[in-house]
Amino acid sequence: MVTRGAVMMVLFALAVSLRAQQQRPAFTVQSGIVAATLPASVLQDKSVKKQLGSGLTTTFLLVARQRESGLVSGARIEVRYDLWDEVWIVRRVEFDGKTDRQRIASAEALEKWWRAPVRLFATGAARVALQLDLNVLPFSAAEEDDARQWITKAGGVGSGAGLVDALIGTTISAKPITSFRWNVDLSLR
Amino acid sequence: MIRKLILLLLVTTPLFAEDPLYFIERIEVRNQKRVSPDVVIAESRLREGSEYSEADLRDAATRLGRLPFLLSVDFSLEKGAERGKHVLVLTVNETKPIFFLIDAVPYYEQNEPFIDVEYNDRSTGDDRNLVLGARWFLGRRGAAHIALEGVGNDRPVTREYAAFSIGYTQYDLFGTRAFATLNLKKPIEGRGEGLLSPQVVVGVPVSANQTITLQYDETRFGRETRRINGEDFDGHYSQRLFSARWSYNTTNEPFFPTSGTLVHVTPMVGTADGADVFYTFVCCEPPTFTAVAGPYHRDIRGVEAGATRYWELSERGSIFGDLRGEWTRVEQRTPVEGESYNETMHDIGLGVGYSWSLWSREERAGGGDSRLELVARFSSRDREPRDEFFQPQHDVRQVSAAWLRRTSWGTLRIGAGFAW
Repeated sequence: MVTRGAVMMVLFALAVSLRAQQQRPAFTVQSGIVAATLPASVLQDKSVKKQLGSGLTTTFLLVARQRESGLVSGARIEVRYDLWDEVWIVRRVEFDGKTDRQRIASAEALEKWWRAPVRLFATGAARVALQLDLNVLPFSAAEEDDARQWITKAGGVGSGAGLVDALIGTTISAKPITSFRWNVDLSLR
Repeated sequence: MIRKLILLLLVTTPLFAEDPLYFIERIEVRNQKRVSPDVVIAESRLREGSEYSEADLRDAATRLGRLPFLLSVDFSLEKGAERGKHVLVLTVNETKPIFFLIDAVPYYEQNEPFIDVEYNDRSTGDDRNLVLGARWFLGRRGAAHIALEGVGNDRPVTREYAAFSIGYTQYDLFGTRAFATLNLKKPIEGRGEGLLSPQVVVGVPVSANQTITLQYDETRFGRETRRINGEDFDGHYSQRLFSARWSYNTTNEPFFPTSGTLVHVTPMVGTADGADVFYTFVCCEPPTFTAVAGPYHRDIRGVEAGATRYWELSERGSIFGDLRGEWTRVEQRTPVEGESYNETMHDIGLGVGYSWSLWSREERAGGGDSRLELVARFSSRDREPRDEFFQPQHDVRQVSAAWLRRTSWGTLRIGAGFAW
């Protein structure tokens, strides 16, 4: 919802994308909150398309790193096609925990939903050099209780559950199907 | 750093309790040519007619990804016969029936300049570092194999050898998802021609990620004659080890994982019998010894344990860190009066490594990999009672570089290392 206030649409593609042939995300800034609109070409990627058609959840994990300050934030999108109801069940969790869940009836509507901005982080900076990673994972990343509890009990990594969870969320999860990286410099004025 | 990760946690922590459950009325294995579908299904630990979450399916996918005869497995669902029921489709990419394993990283030792071509941290529970073999699936749940194998064993109480082996594995024993392998080995090198020696391995999965593996491994080496001071002494040797290994494994690959955790604890007992030549000290200046030949017997007890964690840093890069330890107690009786002794050995090690894939994720999607690996290790070895002359306490530092390759034909790790 980019309607009122000081909404600025900006994009400077100064750095080279790892996938030049891919479309790039667009970014919007509203009240200091940076959001990304992901390109539809991600959904058309061969390996992503195959996973989306599997009837199992496809998880898109967005990790935004502000290169100068080192701050890390992110968001997660989950997409699953329900074979019996023939609808797409989608979830989007933004950086502040705001969640959007929907049942979408068609692939066209899915693409439209996909292109809604995903809020990534809040900042007061005038410029942000951003590295945005999108990892596509098979299966839901939501439930890995066994591994999480086991490692926490074993003290396998760190002492805080947060560290354990963060590592699990990004490493124990199934091997990524594919990944995308974009480097951009955002001017927020 | 932790603050960053906790921040990341906010967006990666599950907020949805309702992980979907899928009723699997049938499991189909597709694209298989030689592998028995029943074996694949058994190894997945999934059962038709049961309901599974995505976490269950993910664990099954990871488990199948560790099978040495599969390069990759894709999971997908199809509609079942009735609403709410599903067919789980496992699309496999198999390895070839003839396979090889070469795991050799020679180390150059600074203090004792020689090349030690042995390296195997046994993290996978497999002592073999050279294998050329073939595998056939027989019936619905069986597989036979023949192999020429080299067992590179750095345990202080057992020996390296090469052997011909023939064996059979029965999967899904009594419908329990357990497996049993009977292997008959004939050592051909190491201590001379050996005798037919049995090895029995029984693996019992206790959860998707935990397995208990019981193993009885006997090796009977041939008789050898050693000439000392113009006199011939007959010697022969046999060893038998019984081990019970518990492992927790979430790694994504059987040989060169890039993510996941592997923790194992392996208590073992064993014996070693033979006849050998023993030296007794006669006089001190100049030191003289006398050789006495005769039988000996060793009782062996020990525990091996290790924990390794792999992290994928990027599409191609991966790091690991491991901690491992071994404790071994040997009670030996020799023919030399007063020479029976008890000995305890400790070995504690730390390792870190980095590997970088020469292949893109797309190239690796169908299975297989080609990686460069850098490893640094430190280990501290000691024994009680101390033997400052022959086996003093010592710390070993090792660095190595290797090329790792996995294809449908086999697995290769070749490189070189330096130890000091």
